[in-house]
Amino acid sequence: MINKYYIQNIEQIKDAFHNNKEFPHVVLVDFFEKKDYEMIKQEIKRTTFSPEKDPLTHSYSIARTTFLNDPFFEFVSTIVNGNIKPMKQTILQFKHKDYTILNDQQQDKPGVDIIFNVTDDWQDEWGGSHFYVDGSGAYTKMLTTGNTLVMARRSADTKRFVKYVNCTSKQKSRIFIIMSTS
Amino acid sequence: MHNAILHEWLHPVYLQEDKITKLQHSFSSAKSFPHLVLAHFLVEKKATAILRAIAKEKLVLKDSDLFTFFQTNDFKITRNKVLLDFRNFLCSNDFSQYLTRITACKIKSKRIDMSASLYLKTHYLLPHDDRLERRRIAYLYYLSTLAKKDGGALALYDSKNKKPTEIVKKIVPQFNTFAFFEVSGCSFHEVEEIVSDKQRIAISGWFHDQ
Repeated sequence: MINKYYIQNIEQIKDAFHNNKEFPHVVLVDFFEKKDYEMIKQEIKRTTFSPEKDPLTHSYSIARTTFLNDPFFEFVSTIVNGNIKPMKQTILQFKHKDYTILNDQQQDKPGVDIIFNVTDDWQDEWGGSHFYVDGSGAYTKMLTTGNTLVMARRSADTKRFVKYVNCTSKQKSRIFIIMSTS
Repeated sequence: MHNAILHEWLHPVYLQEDKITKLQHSFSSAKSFPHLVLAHFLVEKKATAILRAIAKEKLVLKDSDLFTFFQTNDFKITRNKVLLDFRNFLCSNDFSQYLTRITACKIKSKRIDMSASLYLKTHYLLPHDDRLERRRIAYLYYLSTLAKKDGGALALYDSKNKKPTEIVKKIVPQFNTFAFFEVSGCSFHEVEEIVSDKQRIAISGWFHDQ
Protein backbone atom coordinates (compact mmCIF):
# COMPACT_ATOMS: atom_id res chain seq x y z
CA MET A 1 0.00 0.00 0.00
CA ILE A 2 1.17 3.50 -0.87
CA ASN A 3 2.34 5.62 2.08
CA LYS A 4 -0.80 7.22 3.54
CA TYR A 5 0.86 10.63 3.64
CA TYR A 6 1.09 10.64 -0.14
CA ILE A 7 -2.52 9.52 -0.56
CA GLN A 8 -3.69 12.29 1.75
CA ASN A 9 -1.56 14.92 0.02
CA ILE A 10 -1.98 13.84 -3.56
CA GLU A 11 -3.05 17.33 -4.77
CA GLN A 12 0.13 18.94 -3.40
CA ILE A 13 2.25 16.27 -5.09
CA LYS A 14 0.41 16.87 -8.34
CA ASP A 15 1.09 20.61 -8.02
CA ALA A 16 4.77 19.97 -7.27
CA PHE A 17 5.05 17.82 -10.40
CA HIS A 18 3.41 20.35 -12.70
CA ASN A 19 5.02 23.41 -11.12
CA ASN A 20 8.39 22.06 -12.21
CA LYS A 21 7.88 23.79 -15.59
CA GLU A 22 11.22 23.08 -17.25
CA PHE A 23 11.35 19.43 -16.22
CA PRO A 24 8.13 18.20 -14.59
CA HIS A 25 9.14 15.57 -12.08
CA VAL A 26 8.66 14.54 -8.49
CA VAL A 27 10.64 12.28 -6.14
CA LEU A 28 8.75 10.51 -3.36
CA VAL A 29 10.78 8.84 -0.61
CA ASP A 30 9.33 6.07 1.62
CA PHE A 31 6.79 5.54 -1.11
CA PHE A 32 5.27 2.23 -0.02
CA GLU A 33 4.39 1.27 3.53
CA LYS A 34 7.31 -0.64 5.02
CA LYS A 35 5.58 -4.05 4.94
CA ASP A 36 4.71 -3.70 1.25
CA TYR A 37 8.19 -2.49 0.35
CA GLU A 38 9.66 -5.57 2.07
CA MET A 39 7.30 -7.79 0.04
CA ILE A 40 8.48 -6.19 -3.21
CA LYS A 41 12.09 -6.79 -2.18
CA GLN A 42 11.32 -10.43 -1.45
CA GLU A 43 9.68 -10.81 -4.87
CA ILE A 44 12.77 -9.33 -6.49
CA LYS A 45 15.02 -11.76 -4.63
CA ARG A 46 13.08 -14.58 -6.31
CA THR A 47 13.38 -12.98 -9.75
CA THR A 48 15.72 -14.37 -12.40
CA PHE A 49 17.56 -11.71 -14.36
CA SER A 50 19.07 -12.09 -17.82
CA PRO A 51 22.25 -10.17 -18.69
CA GLU A 52 22.00 -7.88 -21.71
CA LYS A 53 24.79 -5.90 -23.35
CA ASP A 54 25.33 -3.70 -26.37
CA PRO A 55 28.69 -2.02 -25.64
CA LEU A 56 27.65 1.25 -27.31
CA THR A 57 24.41 1.67 -25.41
CA HIS A 58 24.03 -0.44 -22.29
CA SER A 59 25.05 -3.23 -19.99
CA TYR A 60 22.66 -4.53 -17.32
CA SER A 61 20.50 -7.46 -16.34
CA ILE A 62 16.79 -7.43 -17.03
CA ALA A 63 13.56 -9.12 -15.92
CA ARG A 64 9.85 -8.46 -16.40
CA THR A 65 7.25 -8.26 -13.66
CA THR A 66 3.75 -7.13 -12.75
CA PHE A 67 4.40 -6.31 -9.04
CA LEU A 68 2.78 -2.91 -9.23
CA ASN A 69 -0.98 -3.04 -9.23
CA ASP A 70 -4.02 -0.96 -10.21
CA PRO A 71 -4.01 1.43 -7.20
CA PHE A 72 -0.38 2.28 -8.01
CA PHE A 73 -1.28 3.22 -11.59
CA GLU A 74 -4.31 5.19 -10.43
CA PHE A 75 -2.06 7.19 -8.12
CA VAL A 76 0.50 7.85 -10.87
CA SER A 77 -2.25 8.81 -13.35
CA THR A 78 -3.58 11.40 -10.93
CA ILE A 79 -0.15 12.96 -10.38
CA VAL A 80 0.81 13.27 -14.04
CA ASN A 81 -2.72 14.16 -15.21
CA GLY A 82 -2.91 11.28 -17.63
CA ASN A 83 -4.45 7.91 -18.05
CA ILE A 84 -1.62 5.54 -17.24
CA LYS A 85 -2.95 2.04 -17.64
CA PRO A 86 -1.46 -0.90 -15.76
CA MET A 87 1.44 -2.25 -17.81
CA LYS A 88 4.25 -4.75 -17.61
CA GLN A 89 7.17 -3.47 -15.63
CA THR A 90 10.85 -3.85 -16.42
CA ILE A 91 13.28 -4.58 -13.61
CA LEU A 92 16.85 -3.49 -14.32
CA GLN A 93 19.77 -4.64 -12.22
CA PHE A 94 23.06 -2.71 -12.37
CA LYS A 95 26.22 -4.17 -10.88
CA HIS A 96 29.93 -3.43 -11.31
CA LYS A 97 30.71 -2.49 -14.97
CA ASP A 98 27.06 -1.89 -15.90
CA TYR A 99 25.87 1.38 -17.48
CA THR A 100 23.68 3.01 -20.06
CA ILE A 101 25.01 5.55 -22.58
CA LEU A 102 23.16 8.36 -24.33
CA ASN A 103 23.34 7.97 -28.07
CA ASP A 104 22.18 9.78 -31.17
CA GLN A 105 19.84 6.96 -32.16
CA GLN A 106 18.00 7.17 -28.82
CA GLN A 107 14.83 9.06 -29.70
CA ASP A 108 12.28 8.30 -27.03
CA LYS A 109 8.95 9.89 -27.74
CA PRO A 110 7.76 12.40 -25.12
CA GLY A 111 6.04 10.64 -22.25
CA VAL A 112 6.30 9.80 -18.56
CA ASP A 113 8.98 7.71 -16.82
CA ILE A 114 8.04 5.94 -13.61
CA ILE A 115 11.05 4.61 -11.74
CA PHE A 116 10.91 2.82 -8.42
CA ASN A 117 14.19 2.23 -6.57
CA VAL A 118 14.47 -1.08 -4.76
CA THR A 119 18.01 -0.88 -3.38
CA ASP A 120 18.79 0.11 0.20
CA ASP A 121 22.13 1.48 1.39
CA TRP A 122 23.41 2.36 -2.08
CA GLN A 123 26.25 4.91 -2.02
CA ASP A 124 26.30 7.66 -4.66
CA GLU A 125 30.05 7.28 -5.18
CA TRP A 126 29.53 3.73 -6.47
CA GLY A 127 27.91 5.19 -9.62
CA GLY A 128 24.61 3.75 -10.83
CA SER A 129 22.71 7.02 -10.41
CA HIS A 130 19.93 7.94 -12.79
CA PHE A 131 20.51 11.20 -14.68
CA TYR A 132 18.20 13.19 -16.91
CA VAL A 133 19.74 15.46 -19.54
CA ASP A 134 17.87 18.17 -21.41
CA GLY A 135 18.69 19.65 -24.81
CA SER A 136 20.96 22.31 -23.27
CA GLY A 137 23.14 19.68 -21.55
CA ALA A 138 21.82 20.43 -18.03
CA TYR A 139 21.76 17.34 -15.81
CA THR A 140 19.27 16.33 -13.13
CA LYS A 141 20.49 13.58 -10.82
CA MET A 142 17.82 11.45 -9.17
CA LEU A 143 17.89 10.26 -5.58
CA THR A 144 19.31 6.77 -5.09
CA THR A 145 17.62 5.67 -1.85
CA GLY A 146 15.48 2.54 -1.67
CA ASN A 147 11.66 2.73 -1.61
CA THR A 148 11.78 5.96 -3.65
CA LEU A 149 9.49 6.65 -6.59
CA VAL A 150 10.49 9.03 -9.37
CA MET A 151 7.95 10.31 -11.86
CA ALA A 152 9.33 12.43 -14.68
CA ARG A 153 7.83 13.84 -17.86
CA ARG A 154 10.17 13.52 -20.84
CA SER A 155 10.08 16.17 -23.53
CA ALA A 156 11.42 15.50 -27.02
CA ASP A 157 14.85 16.74 -25.83
CA THR A 158 15.01 14.81 -22.54
CA LYS A 159 17.22 11.75 -22.36
CA ARG A 160 18.26 9.64 -19.42
CA PHE A 161 21.20 7.47 -18.52
CA VAL A 162 22.51 5.39 -15.64
CA LYS A 163 26.07 6.18 -14.65
CA TYR A 164 28.68 3.40 -14.86
CA VAL A 165 28.82 1.32 -11.66
CA ASN A 166 32.42 1.37 -10.50
CA CYS A 167 34.63 -1.09 -8.62
CA THR A 168 33.95 0.42 -5.20
CA SER A 169 30.43 -1.07 -5.37
CA LYS A 170 32.10 -4.48 -4.98
CA GLN A 171 29.43 -7.24 -5.09
CA LYS A 172 26.46 -4.92 -4.58
CA SER A 173 23.86 -4.31 -7.27
CA ARG A 174 21.29 -1.59 -7.78
CA ILE A 175 17.75 -2.41 -8.89
CA PHE A 176 15.01 -0.25 -10.43
CA ILE A 177 11.52 -1.09 -11.56
CA ILE A 178 10.94 1.09 -14.58
CA MET A 179 8.06 1.92 -16.87
CA SER A 180 7.82 4.47 -19.64
CA THR A 181 4.79 5.77 -21.46
CA SER A 182 4.83 7.60 -24.76
CA MET B 1 63.51 10.64 -43.73
CA HIS B 2 66.36 11.23 -41.26
CA ASN B 3 65.42 14.75 -40.39
CA ALA B 4 66.82 16.68 -37.49
CA ILE B 5 63.59 16.99 -35.54
CA LEU B 6 62.91 13.25 -35.72
CA HIS B 7 66.44 12.53 -34.48
CA GLU B 8 66.00 15.01 -31.67
CA TRP B 9 62.78 13.38 -30.37
CA LEU B 10 62.40 9.76 -31.47
CA HIS B 11 64.23 6.76 -30.12
CA PRO B 12 66.84 5.96 -32.82
CA VAL B 13 65.40 2.50 -33.49
CA TYR B 14 62.30 4.07 -35.03
CA LEU B 15 64.38 5.81 -37.68
CA GLN B 16 65.89 2.64 -39.12
CA GLU B 17 64.53 1.84 -42.56
CA ASP B 18 63.98 -1.85 -41.91
CA LYS B 19 62.15 -0.99 -38.69
CA ILE B 20 59.87 1.44 -40.52
CA THR B 21 59.04 -1.27 -43.05
CA LYS B 22 58.11 -3.65 -40.22
CA LEU B 23 55.96 -0.95 -38.59
CA GLN B 24 54.07 -0.40 -41.84
CA HIS B 25 53.25 -4.09 -41.99
CA SER B 26 52.36 -4.33 -38.29
CA PHE B 27 50.01 -1.36 -38.53
CA SER B 28 48.13 -2.48 -41.62
CA SER B 29 47.81 -6.10 -40.49
CA ALA B 30 46.79 -5.40 -36.88
CA LYS B 31 43.49 -6.93 -35.75
CA SER B 32 40.75 -5.92 -35.45
CA PHE B 33 41.59 -2.52 -36.92
CA PRO B 34 44.92 -0.89 -37.87
CA HIS B 35 46.89 0.15 -34.80
CA LEU B 36 50.41 0.14 -33.45
CA VAL B 37 52.16 0.39 -30.09
CA LEU B 38 55.66 1.89 -29.98
CA ALA B 39 57.52 1.26 -26.71
CA HIS B 40 60.41 3.58 -25.70
CA PHE B 41 58.99 6.06 -28.18
CA LEU B 42 60.90 9.23 -27.32
CA VAL B 43 64.44 9.68 -26.18
CA GLU B 44 64.25 9.16 -22.42
CA LYS B 45 65.03 12.70 -21.25
CA LYS B 46 62.21 14.13 -23.40
CA ALA B 47 59.70 11.72 -21.85
CA THR B 48 60.80 12.62 -18.33
CA ALA B 49 60.62 16.35 -19.07
CA ILE B 50 57.08 15.99 -20.48
CA LEU B 51 55.91 14.11 -17.39
CA ARG B 52 57.34 16.84 -15.16
CA ALA B 53 55.69 19.54 -17.27
CA ILE B 54 52.26 17.92 -17.09
CA ALA B 55 52.34 18.02 -13.31
CA LYS B 56 52.14 21.84 -13.60
CA GLU B 57 49.05 21.86 -15.85
CA LYS B 58 45.58 22.55 -14.47
CA LEU B 59 43.25 19.54 -14.60
CA VAL B 60 39.45 19.67 -14.84
CA LEU B 61 37.13 16.77 -13.98
CA LYS B 62 35.30 15.51 -17.07
CA ASP B 63 32.21 13.57 -16.11
CA SER B 64 29.38 12.34 -18.35
CA ASP B 65 27.47 9.20 -19.30
CA LEU B 66 30.52 8.04 -21.27
CA PHE B 67 33.45 8.87 -18.99
CA THR B 68 34.96 10.14 -15.77
CA PHE B 69 38.55 11.45 -15.70
CA PHE B 70 40.63 14.61 -15.30
CA GLN B 71 41.84 16.49 -18.37
CA THR B 72 43.92 19.56 -19.21
CA ASN B 73 43.08 22.19 -21.81
CA ASP B 74 44.34 21.59 -25.32
CA PHE B 75 48.09 22.19 -25.40
CA LYS B 76 47.70 24.77 -28.16
CA ILE B 77 46.96 27.28 -25.39
CA THR B 78 49.49 26.06 -22.82
CA ARG B 79 52.30 28.36 -21.74
CA ASN B 80 54.51 25.42 -20.88
CA LYS B 81 57.41 25.37 -23.33
CA VAL B 82 58.11 21.64 -22.92
CA LEU B 83 54.52 20.74 -23.82
CA LEU B 84 54.41 23.25 -26.67
CA ASP B 85 57.64 21.79 -28.05
CA PHE B 86 56.17 18.28 -27.88
CA ARG B 87 53.05 19.50 -29.65
CA ASN B 88 55.16 21.23 -32.31
CA PHE B 89 57.07 18.00 -32.82
CA LEU B 90 53.95 15.84 -33.26
CA CYS B 91 52.38 18.28 -35.68
CA SER B 92 55.59 19.02 -37.59
CA ASN B 93 55.81 18.29 -41.32
CA ASP B 94 58.49 15.70 -40.64
CA PHE B 95 56.53 13.71 -38.07
CA SER B 96 53.32 13.97 -40.12
CA GLN B 97 55.17 12.49 -43.09
CA TYR B 98 56.70 9.82 -40.87
CA LEU B 99 53.28 8.83 -39.53
CA THR B 100 51.73 8.94 -43.00
CA ARG B 101 54.46 6.63 -44.23
CA ILE B 102 53.74 4.07 -41.50
CA THR B 103 49.96 4.24 -41.67
CA ALA B 104 49.28 5.17 -45.30
CA CYS B 105 46.75 7.59 -43.80
CA LYS B 106 47.12 11.09 -45.15
CA ILE B 107 47.32 13.48 -42.24
CA LYS B 108 47.85 17.19 -42.34
CA SER B 109 50.65 18.76 -40.32
CA LYS B 110 49.64 21.45 -37.81
CA ARG B 111 46.17 19.85 -37.47
CA ILE B 112 46.20 18.06 -34.17
CA ASP B 113 44.22 17.85 -30.92
CA MET B 114 46.30 17.30 -27.83
CA SER B 115 45.62 17.27 -24.10
CA ALA B 116 46.71 15.32 -21.08
CA SER B 117 44.47 13.16 -18.94
CA LEU B 118 44.70 11.72 -15.47
CA TYR B 119 42.66 8.67 -14.50
CA LEU B 120 42.36 7.81 -10.82
CA LYS B 121 40.65 4.83 -9.17
CA THR B 122 37.09 4.34 -10.62
CA HIS B 123 37.80 6.52 -13.71
CA TYR B 124 36.99 5.06 -17.15
CA LEU B 125 35.99 5.75 -20.74
CA LEU B 126 33.22 3.54 -22.14
CA PRO B 127 33.16 2.06 -25.68
CA HIS B 128 33.01 4.44 -28.64
CA ASP B 129 34.63 4.76 -32.09
CA ASP B 130 36.15 8.30 -31.91
CA ARG B 131 34.63 9.20 -35.26
CA LEU B 132 34.24 12.91 -35.78
CA GLU B 133 34.84 15.00 -38.84
CA ARG B 134 38.52 15.28 -39.80
CA ARG B 135 39.86 12.84 -37.18
CA ARG B 136 42.14 10.42 -39.03
CA ILE B 137 44.44 8.88 -36.42
CA ALA B 138 43.85 8.70 -32.68
CA TYR B 139 46.92 8.55 -30.45
CA LEU B 140 47.88 8.05 -26.82
CA TYR B 141 51.27 8.74 -25.31
CA TYR B 142 51.55 7.03 -21.93
CA LEU B 143 53.45 8.66 -19.11
CA SER B 144 52.80 6.15 -16.35
CA THR B 145 53.16 2.39 -16.09
CA LEU B 146 50.31 0.17 -14.99
CA ALA B 147 49.96 -3.56 -14.51
CA LYS B 148 47.08 -5.53 -15.99
CA LYS B 149 45.47 -5.85 -12.55
CA ASP B 150 45.34 -2.03 -12.15
CA GLY B 151 42.87 -1.56 -15.03
CA GLY B 152 43.33 1.46 -17.29
CA ALA B 153 44.13 -0.60 -20.39
CA LEU B 154 43.08 0.57 -23.83
CA ALA B 155 40.75 -2.23 -24.93
CA LEU B 156 40.15 -2.72 -28.65
CA TYR B 157 36.94 -4.35 -29.87
CA ASP B 158 36.30 -6.64 -32.77
CA SER B 159 33.24 -5.60 -34.77
CA LYS B 160 30.56 -6.99 -37.00
CA ASN B 161 28.26 -4.91 -39.19
CA LYS B 162 29.84 -1.75 -37.76
CA LYS B 163 28.98 -2.75 -34.20
CA PRO B 164 31.43 -3.75 -31.46
CA THR B 165 31.28 -7.39 -30.45
CA GLU B 166 34.05 -8.39 -28.04
CA ILE B 167 37.37 -7.11 -26.71
CA VAL B 168 40.21 -8.69 -28.68
CA LYS B 169 43.23 -6.75 -27.43
CA LYS B 170 44.25 -4.81 -24.34
CA ILE B 171 47.09 -2.30 -24.38
CA VAL B 172 48.35 -1.79 -20.84
CA PRO B 173 49.91 1.67 -20.33
CA GLN B 174 53.70 1.71 -20.12
CA PHE B 175 55.77 4.86 -19.58
CA ASN B 176 57.04 6.43 -22.83
CA THR B 177 54.86 4.29 -25.08
CA PHE B 178 53.04 5.75 -28.08
CA ALA B 179 49.91 3.93 -29.26
CA PHE B 180 47.84 4.98 -32.24
CA PHE B 181 45.05 3.67 -34.46
CA GLU B 182 43.17 4.60 -37.57
CA VAL B 183 39.80 6.19 -36.81
CA SER B 184 37.05 4.44 -38.74
CA GLY B 185 33.54 3.07 -38.43
CA CYS B 186 34.94 0.02 -36.67
CA SER B 187 37.62 1.54 -34.40
CA PHE B 188 35.65 0.69 -31.24
CA HIS B 189 37.66 1.00 -28.06
CA GLU B 190 37.42 1.87 -24.38
CA VAL B 191 39.65 2.70 -21.44
CA GLU B 192 39.00 0.17 -18.73
CA GLU B 193 38.22 1.42 -15.25
CA ILE B 194 41.18 1.98 -12.95
CA VAL B 195 40.62 -0.44 -10.07
CA SER B 196 43.75 0.26 -8.00
CA ASP B 197 45.31 3.36 -6.47
CA LYS B 198 47.68 3.74 -9.42
CA GLN B 199 47.47 6.79 -11.68
CA ARG B 200 47.07 6.59 -15.44
CA ILE B 201 48.71 9.63 -17.00
CA ALA B 202 48.63 10.08 -20.77
CA ILE B 203 48.66 12.63 -23.54
CA SER B 204 46.11 11.92 -26.21
CA GLY B 205 44.32 13.38 -29.19
CA TRP B 206 43.88 13.04 -32.91
CA PHE B 207 45.77 13.78 -36.10
CA HIS B 208 43.46 15.33 -38.67
CA ASP B 209 43.33 14.76 -42.39
CA GLN B 210 42.40 18.32 -43.38
